[in-house]
Amino acid sequence: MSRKTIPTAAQLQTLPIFQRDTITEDQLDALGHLTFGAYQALFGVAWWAFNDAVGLGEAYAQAHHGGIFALESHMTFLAEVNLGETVSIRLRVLGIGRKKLHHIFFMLNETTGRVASLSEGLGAFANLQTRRLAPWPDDITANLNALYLPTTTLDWEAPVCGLFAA
Amino acid sequence: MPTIEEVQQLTRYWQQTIPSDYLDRMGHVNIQYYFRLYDTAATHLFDAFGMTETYVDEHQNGAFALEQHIRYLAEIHEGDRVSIYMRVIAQSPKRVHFAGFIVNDTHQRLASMFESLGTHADLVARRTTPFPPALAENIRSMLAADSQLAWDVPLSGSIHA
Repeated sequence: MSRKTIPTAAQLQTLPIFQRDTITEDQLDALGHLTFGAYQALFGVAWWAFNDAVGLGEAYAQAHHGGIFALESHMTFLAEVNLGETVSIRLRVLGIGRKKLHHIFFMLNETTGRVASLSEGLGAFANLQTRRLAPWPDDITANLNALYLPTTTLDWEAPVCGLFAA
Repeated sequence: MPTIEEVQQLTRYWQQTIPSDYLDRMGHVNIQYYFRLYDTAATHLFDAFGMTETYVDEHQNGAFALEQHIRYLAEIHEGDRVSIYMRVIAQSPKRVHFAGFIVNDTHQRLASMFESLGTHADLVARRTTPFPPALAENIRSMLAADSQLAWDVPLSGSIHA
């Protein structure tokens, strides 16, 4: 927790946004907390938007029987999010291997300027027929690199859990 | 990873069958439902600590999650029966570190492992606070019982109470 340096709102501005939402009553529990389900739903929408953006939409899965399997996830909750506040989910690709992808989503509370939570993941391309991991197709690698390469010159380190390598 | 026989030595806090709406476009249970399964089991674990709905209402104290780690070991599909087991790993005055396991009962294999760090919190002040003595004692006795097991949890090493 405190051992990680969390980026500032200003540092996150250059990262692409894959979801933006204003918090409504139905995302809160009886205590006024954003529910776990609501966190996961927000990151989930961002995840599929990211898949679509790199060419791994539903049409691709149908035609080519490929997609990303999650191998491991690490969630960090940093600050509460309240009713009426607007959050954005921003992605930083951290590494691309022959089969794997290491990424982190930041939930930025746009209203308060604080990072509310982190969702770091290790995933891999998979053949949906054999259900086995497989190397990235060249066109998908190119699309992932288009997201990754601009982040390699950032002057801040991502607050990673330290366990994942693509 | 422990064998499923070892995991089954722990208390089972939840069991259910997977409905079709848990599946995503990859044709398997989506990660948000792993978090939901573990969250449901954790609610019952916290009940066992003494952090029941009555406790939360009466004392305006509850739990906040700080950090969670999930490993996906084998796919889970529609109609599979799953059981969720939990084990206390460590405690500090404010925090408790626990692990969870999803056993796929249908296919008799370990489907996932989870680790979580939770903190006791004052829900009015919205600040973390120490567990009251009775809850701390309950956690301590559950931790002592779990420590008797002959197998160790393969911890991620990234979570510390």
